[in-house]
Amino acid sequence: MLGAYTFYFIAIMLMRARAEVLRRERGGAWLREELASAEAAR
Amino acid sequence: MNWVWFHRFGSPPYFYRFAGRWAPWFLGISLVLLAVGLYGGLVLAPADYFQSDVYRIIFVHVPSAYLSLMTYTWMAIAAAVGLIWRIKIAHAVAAACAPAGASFTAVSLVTGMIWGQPTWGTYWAWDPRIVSQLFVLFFFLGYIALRGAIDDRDRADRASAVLAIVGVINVPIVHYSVDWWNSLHQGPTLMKSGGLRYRCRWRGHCW
Amino acid sequence: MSASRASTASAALAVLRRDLLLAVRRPGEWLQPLAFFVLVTVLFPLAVDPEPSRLRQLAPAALWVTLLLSSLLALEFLFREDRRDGTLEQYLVSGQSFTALLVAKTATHWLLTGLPLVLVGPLAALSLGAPPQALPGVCVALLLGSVSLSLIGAIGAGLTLGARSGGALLSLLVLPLVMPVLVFGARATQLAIAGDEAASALYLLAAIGALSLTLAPLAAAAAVRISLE
Repeated sequence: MLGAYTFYFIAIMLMRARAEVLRRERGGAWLREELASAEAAR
Repeated sequence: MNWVWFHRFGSPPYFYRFAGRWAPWFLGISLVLLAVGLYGGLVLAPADYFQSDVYRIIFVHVPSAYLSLMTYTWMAIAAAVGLIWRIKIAHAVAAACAPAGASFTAVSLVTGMIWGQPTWGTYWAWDPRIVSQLFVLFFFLGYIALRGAIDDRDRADRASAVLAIVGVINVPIVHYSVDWWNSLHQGPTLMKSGGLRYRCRWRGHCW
Repeated sequence: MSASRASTASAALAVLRRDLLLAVRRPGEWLQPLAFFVLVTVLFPLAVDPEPSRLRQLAPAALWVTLLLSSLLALEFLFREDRRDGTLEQYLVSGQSFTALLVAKTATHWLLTGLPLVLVGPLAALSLGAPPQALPGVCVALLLGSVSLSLIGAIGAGLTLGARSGGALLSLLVLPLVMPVLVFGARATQLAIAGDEAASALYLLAAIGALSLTLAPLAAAAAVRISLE
């Protein structure tokens, strides 16, 4: 259970930190490219 | 020692891609482990001689209490990295830890209360372990509130990092509170011999 | 080497003198927490049954909670004025140790709000039914505790300098940090009033005081510096 919780925490932490990066880098050129390529892949 | 792999995390695009790729995997592993742990804890582990089935809440209570302190330590480390080397990603990581840590702390308190009612006969005891855990919750909330109250993002990052580092002093206090004061709460379950062992033969599934 | 150290000391003394002078000219700021302390201690016996034995039981809790709250009340003003009129920025560019100057400011804060509370504390303890022979112990506990409260509180005051909301946030940040001071302070007071040996709790209070004296100024200086950038 401790392992499960730890992995859960890592996942949550990564997702939240990713969202935070998204918020901070809004307007950054690399992010626009990133989002565009993700859009294209879909 | 080659630190390039570590320094790469300082770059927002790299981190963004890394987090996007790996977060689902970690979530998947955690769900699998959760299923295994819950099956082991709720089905395989034998009922306790004194507490019968009530003790099974330990499988939620102990990991969340540990994770609350681990999250705290991790948040402080990330905050210190961000403050010393001025890495913005580290601040983002520290900020991401706080709500998770607050919820782990809240879960450990609530499960403790639910467990306390049948075994101690009370939901809440003014016991050092419980009170210091409550203060950890306040600390997480204070951290979130401080971030929210400062408009300038860079300043919010650095001010909250100082708070996180100062608050690390709470971690040993919470962890050793059971040893330092005579308390109602039982001793720490992990990192101490003979804690749960006599109760739980399925150690692997417990934690 | 020694010349620069001497000038740091004299700069810190100058800050101390300036703040004391300002406080003499504006007595409202340091009289308010004192009045608050006296008022709340008077309210306690009114709110509960004023039977002497019960009051004596309640006295440590009443004294320490009130001390904590009035110290918090004064903390809000610790750096606020000096940040607004640019004094802190002058300290920062003065070339002197910023930490030393902030320690001087914190010392003034303690002299103005901590020390009066320590002096009034025994009276409050007497009025709550503490025996006269308990007063030295109570006094020492209040002295050690209030020093730590001022030092640790300075961190919180520095952190909330740039924040939008002041008071409630300050108490949310500071209260978890000063919990050990409250616990051991109240314990020492309780032991002293009961006529027992209070030394063990007093030693722990002194240890917290020494720890906060060495580490808290560094954190407070870092916090204030961030708010000035």
